[in-house]
Amino acid sequence: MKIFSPLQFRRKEKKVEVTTIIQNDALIIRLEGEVLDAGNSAEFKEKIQPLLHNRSQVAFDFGKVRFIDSSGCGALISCLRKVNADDGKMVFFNVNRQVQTLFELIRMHKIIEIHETREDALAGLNA
Amino acid sequence: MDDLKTGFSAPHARIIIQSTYTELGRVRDFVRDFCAPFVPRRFSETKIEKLVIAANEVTVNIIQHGYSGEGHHHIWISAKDEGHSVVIAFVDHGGKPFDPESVPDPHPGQIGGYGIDIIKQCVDIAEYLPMDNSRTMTRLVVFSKNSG
Repeated sequence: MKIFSPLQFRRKEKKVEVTTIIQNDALIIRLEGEVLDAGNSAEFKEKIQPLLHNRSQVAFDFGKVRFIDSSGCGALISCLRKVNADDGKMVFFNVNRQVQTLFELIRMHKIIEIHETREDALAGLNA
Repeated sequence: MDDLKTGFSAPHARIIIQSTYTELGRVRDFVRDFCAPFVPRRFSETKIEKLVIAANEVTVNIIQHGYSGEGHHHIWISAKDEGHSVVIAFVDHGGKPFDPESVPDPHPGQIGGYGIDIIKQCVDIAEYLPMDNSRTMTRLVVFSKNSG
């Protein structure tokens, strides 16, 4: 039997880092961290919500994200509500298989377009 | 080896975590590492990844609801290979009985309340068992491909 104490594996806080790019009038937000979970979803909302102010086209790039939980999804849905409230449109792209699994479990695809590439996402924003 | 914390009596792996969200990565790694030898012969990669997702959500629920977000408590997590299944058990001392059936099904677009629904979708059995001394055990079970 293997027993690990809390002290052996103490992890650092997962800080939320994002890169923003403006392309074709759309705001592209690339998540630089591998995880969006209950440990950093509050910080994510705090950091992202101001970026969405008066943005009518927003695309999230999940290329580096390896895991999202329900709290992370809740933070993303908050962002979606803000963009929708401003009559904007928000899409996702570059989603890996594990993240896609979670999105399917909470039926995220029913409320937001999920594209494979940045080009597809930009086209989706203008559709 | 008898283990009073989990009720398990066979060899298994165990971790003890603090009731903070920064421990979630350890929980996911623990489940992935324990199950890795069984993929792909007994379990598909997707089935184990769903077990990881469920274990993450159980831990969040214990921290958030069982311990009301207080970070100074502990959660005992055990993994056991039963041959035809893998069982992940969580024990907390929150002392708050929980009826998963009382949680309404979420609808797409709501901000929270997905945890229990995700757990139900990800594992074959999810059980919430009150124990003595304010302890609660949450058990997640996934069956092997050849378990019949």
